[in-house]
Amino acid sequence: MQQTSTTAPQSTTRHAKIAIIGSGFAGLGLAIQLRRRGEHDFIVLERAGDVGGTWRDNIYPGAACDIQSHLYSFSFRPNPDWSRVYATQPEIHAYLKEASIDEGVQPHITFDAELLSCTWQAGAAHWALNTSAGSFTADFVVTAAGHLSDPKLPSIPGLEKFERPMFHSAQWDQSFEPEGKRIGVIGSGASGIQIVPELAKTAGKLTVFQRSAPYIIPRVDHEYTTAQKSMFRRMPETAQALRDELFWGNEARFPQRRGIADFIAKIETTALDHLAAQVPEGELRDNLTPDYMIGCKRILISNDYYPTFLRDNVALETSGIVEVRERSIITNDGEIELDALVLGTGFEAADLPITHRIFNENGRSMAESWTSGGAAYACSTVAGYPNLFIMNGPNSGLGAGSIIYVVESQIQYILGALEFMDSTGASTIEIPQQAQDKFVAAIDERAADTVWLNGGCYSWYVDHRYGRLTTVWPDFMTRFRRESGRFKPDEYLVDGKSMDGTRRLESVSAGAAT
Amino acid sequence: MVTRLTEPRQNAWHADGTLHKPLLIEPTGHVEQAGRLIPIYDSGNETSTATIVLVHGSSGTARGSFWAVYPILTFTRRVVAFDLQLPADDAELTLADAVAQLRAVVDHASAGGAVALVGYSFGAVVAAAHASERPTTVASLSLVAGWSKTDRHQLLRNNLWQRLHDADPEALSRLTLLMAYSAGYLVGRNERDWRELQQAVAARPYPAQIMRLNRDIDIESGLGRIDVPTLVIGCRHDDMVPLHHSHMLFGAISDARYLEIESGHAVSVERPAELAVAVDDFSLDPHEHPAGTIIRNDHA
Repeated sequence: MQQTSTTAPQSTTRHAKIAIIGSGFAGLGLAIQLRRRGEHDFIVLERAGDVGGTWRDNIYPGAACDIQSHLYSFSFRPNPDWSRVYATQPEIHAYLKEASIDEGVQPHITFDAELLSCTWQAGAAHWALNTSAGSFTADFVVTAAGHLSDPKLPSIPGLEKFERPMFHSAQWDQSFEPEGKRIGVIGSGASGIQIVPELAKTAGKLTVFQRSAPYIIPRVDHEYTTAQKSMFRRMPETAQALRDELFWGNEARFPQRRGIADFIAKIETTALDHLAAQVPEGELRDNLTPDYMIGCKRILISNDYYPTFLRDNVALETSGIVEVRERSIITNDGEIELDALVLGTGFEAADLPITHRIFNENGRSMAESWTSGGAAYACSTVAGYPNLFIMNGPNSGLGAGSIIYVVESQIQYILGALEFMDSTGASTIEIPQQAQDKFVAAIDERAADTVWLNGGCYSWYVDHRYGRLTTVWPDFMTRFRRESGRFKPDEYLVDGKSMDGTRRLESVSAGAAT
Repeated sequence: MVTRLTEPRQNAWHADGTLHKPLLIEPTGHVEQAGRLIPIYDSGNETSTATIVLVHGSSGTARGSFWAVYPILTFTRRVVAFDLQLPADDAELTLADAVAQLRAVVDHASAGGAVALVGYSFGAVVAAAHASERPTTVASLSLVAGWSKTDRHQLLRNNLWQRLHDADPEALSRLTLLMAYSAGYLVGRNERDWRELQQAVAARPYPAQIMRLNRDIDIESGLGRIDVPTLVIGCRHDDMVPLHHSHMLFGAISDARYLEIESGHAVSVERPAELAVAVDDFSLDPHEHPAGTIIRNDHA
């Protein structure tokens, strides 16, 4: 249904029932499931030129997943042909791209459409979306903008002065040639530890600036044989069994995050033994030994990061960066000249940039409304923002497991909500503040006993403005699916009214109850 | 379902950031029964939900059966485990004796109300027997990898166990590995975990008194008296207490629902999270699934 805007006669505002922001795993997964259910009245607004989200953006050398691919994929689109246990970025990107084509999602996507504002129109009971590719309206909006999507630059004095090539790991300059160059890598997190061994192969001198050492465990990776892939294809239940095994294996890691000594002892020994096996005793090993409780920061998986520091052309810098100059970095130990600087400094996960572009009817952004950090009922809906669902939003991240499981849980939640709205014929659905506060209070209570708030580290899991754990789910993934993956209308205001007995009977008789 | 705690739970972290010690090693107290002291491991946190009582299997100790599951349950529940006391001088252990010890522990744990009783393997037999005698003390019953009547298959293994126990302890520990764990689990361990698993099994043979008692189990006649909501959990690759035993329990107990876990007999080690969540969720709302339900596995 198209409307012609009265203020700009040459532009038209397209209307869709559902607008999905983003075409990574979350946006694509939801789009696929909508189409499979016969719901075609939706658009996908993608700010880049291709699908894939994180797996489109991160093209740095060595980019790969640290969750096994048979688990880090859609349960409804298993891939028997994963080439290896931990797939690399190109393979994952290809998987998503193929899915978007095969499932007929591509025609729904508007590329190069960056969301500029998304404002609730109370009178019309729909959202008005303003993008770099035109204006849209939608009855429902789903943000699928990811949580590791917007590069975070370090706040180091003088960073902007550096006049030689400098880029964030997620904005890799493909024309950059590392051969023979003096390269600095700031950051030793998940991206940094993949980049460093690759650059070290040809760099003249590679300096890694580490603020805090990660815990690293061995990467048990291998290629799948033709026979295995054929088995997965011929007997899909074997791939499902593997997926379930990987899933429960990851679940069994969660107690490590809750201070359970037996679980922690085991993983800590694994990590420290790995370091000891790869780096001889001495100052280097000391500098690579973390000084906080394991799990407080993301536990990384690599076999080639530690050995990289034994190379002659690689140095580990831990004295701390004082400032950046035009062609060098000043540390507390001295000056290091550099031909290039790579910033493996992660992403803005707490103050989600998308929330600065979503506005309620009074023009207040969601970011402003979050007066003590990210907060959403069932990790999906926010008081004051009707008909809107956030994927990979507050407390939907994981410290140990496949985020795709969470994504699929959120897809089911959103589908349940949409079915409910269809069956009742209602126009608006909104969570009241009190229900949201109660949900968030329960999250905070569970978070209080986790390593993320007790482990003595500084991580992106915590919103440091408020000292709250707002990025990860502080419980088992199965609990997320149970609590935040099954839509229940009970707490919501539907067309402004709370669900009372009569309303509930109506919705049951209309077949909306699950 | 989120359980709101009525009192602050004992925090895992000391004020100085260090952890508490491993659980199920130092008893938190003792329950007196028939002139002896039964060590108990009471997590001590007060909640508004039923206290979970764990009954261990033939390994002989709470830690042997529940080191992975107990801590998970204590996140939100009060949990009481105990170590069965064996008669001195290798005298026969009777089922009545085991049930009497469990009764004493349940009495301690049920001061605040009927308990959520969870029995694993041999412990499921003891738990079922207790529930058939004292249903008012049991709010819900979970029978994990349990059985009701020892059959020829079990006797085959038991006889072999006995012969190797007497003549070849190293072979016995290999038999135990083979029968207690699924093939997939054994094959899937990395080198270090495989070494540790072998050492752990060799270091802790099952008490012979429990193994002798296992030869004569028959609680079939009591199953019809179990008047409490029950969850029967069978392990798909259980070679020690095969699935058909759980099928029988499911059929025999009127208010029972059934769940299968893809695991060997050692489910509490192979799938600790899956087992803990299943037991926790069931005991919080025993009638979420009506009697007779075969609960679907929610695949990842």
